[in-house]
Amino acid sequence: MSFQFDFPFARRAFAEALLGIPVTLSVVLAAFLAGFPLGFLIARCRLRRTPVISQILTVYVSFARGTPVVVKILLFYSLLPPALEHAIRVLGLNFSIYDLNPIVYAFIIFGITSSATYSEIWRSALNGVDSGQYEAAVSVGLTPFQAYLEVVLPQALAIGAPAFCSSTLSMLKGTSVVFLMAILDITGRARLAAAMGYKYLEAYVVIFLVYLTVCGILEQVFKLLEQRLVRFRAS
Amino acid sequence: MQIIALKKSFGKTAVLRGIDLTVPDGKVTAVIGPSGSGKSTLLRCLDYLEKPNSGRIVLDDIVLNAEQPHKKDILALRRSTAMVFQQFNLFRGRTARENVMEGLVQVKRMSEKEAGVIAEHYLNEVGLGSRMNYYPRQLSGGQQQRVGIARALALEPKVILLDEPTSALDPEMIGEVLVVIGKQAKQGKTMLIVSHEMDFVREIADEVVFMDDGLILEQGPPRELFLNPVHERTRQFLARVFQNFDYAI
Ligand SMILES: Nc1ncnc2c1ncn2[C@@H]1O[C@H](COP(=O)(O)OP(=O)(O)OP(=O)(O)O)[C@@H](O)[C@H]1O
Ligand SMILES: [Mg+2]
Repeated sequence: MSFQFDFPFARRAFAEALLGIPVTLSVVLAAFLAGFPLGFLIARCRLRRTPVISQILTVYVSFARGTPVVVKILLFYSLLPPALEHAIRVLGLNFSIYDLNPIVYAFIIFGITSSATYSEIWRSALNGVDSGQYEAAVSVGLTPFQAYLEVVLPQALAIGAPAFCSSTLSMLKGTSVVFLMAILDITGRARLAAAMGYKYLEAYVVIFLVYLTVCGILEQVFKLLEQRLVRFRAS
Repeated sequence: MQIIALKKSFGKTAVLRGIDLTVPDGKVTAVIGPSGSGKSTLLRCLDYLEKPNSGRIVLDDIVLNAEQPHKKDILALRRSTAMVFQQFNLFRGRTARENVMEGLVQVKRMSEKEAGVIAEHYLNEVGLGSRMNYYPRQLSGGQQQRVGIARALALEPKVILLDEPTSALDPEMIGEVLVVIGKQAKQGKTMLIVSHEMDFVREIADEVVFMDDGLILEQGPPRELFLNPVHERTRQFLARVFQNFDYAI
């Protein structure tokens, strides 16, 4: 089988794929903005062993982490819209759920998944901060909230930074499955181009390169943030 | 400071079984006693790092009732006391100066500049004028503990609580820390100190309290307590520590 790599097509597919970057990044950003603080709250509740809530959260985390994103997408995307549509009709609202941009589902699914993943990182990071640090802070007269904000959090962030970075990067790569919901992210755009030109290999090479670049840039951003925390790390 | 019928248990084990103690202003009160007798737990309760089960802690107009502790009283108590920890517990990632400034800026709402001036004053006071900008990990144990003392002093607390401030130190560093504490004692700071350094206790304490198994067995000025202990347990304890001390020489 002879094969020729179609460079002009690849260039066009590349331009297409670039248009998907904002979509991919918006899913990552939304999931981060929801999952990062949520993960912190989950971790705190579980560390404090708040009765009932703590057990519920343990189940939540193992469900959210223990199921592939693809499965969650297939499940959510086929279950949620009919259910919501029904609810809307019952409430007598004049609005069709099918008008909703599917990216909202992506936000929810990745928000849930990342909240669970981040919560595990938060948990070990918060555990890694010596309890004497909190004690010294409240003994100096800081309120428990101030002690957390001023003393415990910077150290926990420093401990967790590498794991936060790598899990965010793998989430970014994982968002490529949102094309299943007809969302035009990097993968979605490139696949669309591929399907129209019947040139799949070129498109896949393009996808590969675009993710590599975007991940590389994001990693550098994390590195910069990490450097600002380095002094809080245990020697 | 007055401690009234203070009790604390961990699960089923009673660690403090009713402590009554007055810590007089401007005096040094030393707590001695065998390991596990509850000395650390007592000090930690006074800063509410440990939650006492019952009893009261009174400090001027603050009355903390252990059975109904109000957040406001806990905060007020913590702000009128300062703890010097066995393991120093300096804030990681903060210089010596920043360690001392933290409470001044966050609690006393001073500007960075004001707080910096005060921090420098107290660091000079403990002999660390040349180490202001060092991070904890760049300091020796003795120096770290002196920063810990400066951090406590800068808050001008009504009572300074010291829990075995020298027992995590290498022997050659104990002296420098004891000198700093002794100097503050002579300046009339109110202190409650747990220590196994009996010579030091004898020298600086106005009152020595002997704790055993969650109770205060006896107390008195160091000369009396060390020379004429009333209780057999006190006698045994003193015989043991002074014997160990002899061995050490
Ligand atoms: N967090 C805790 N949970 C359970 N038990 C504890 C806890 N902290 C202390 N204890 C127990 O309380 C008792 C008193 O401990 P404490 O640390 O107050 O003794 P201490 O007089 O300071 O001893 P040392 O001289 O060894 O420092 C000990 O039996 C200890 O095992
Ligand atoms: Mg102790």
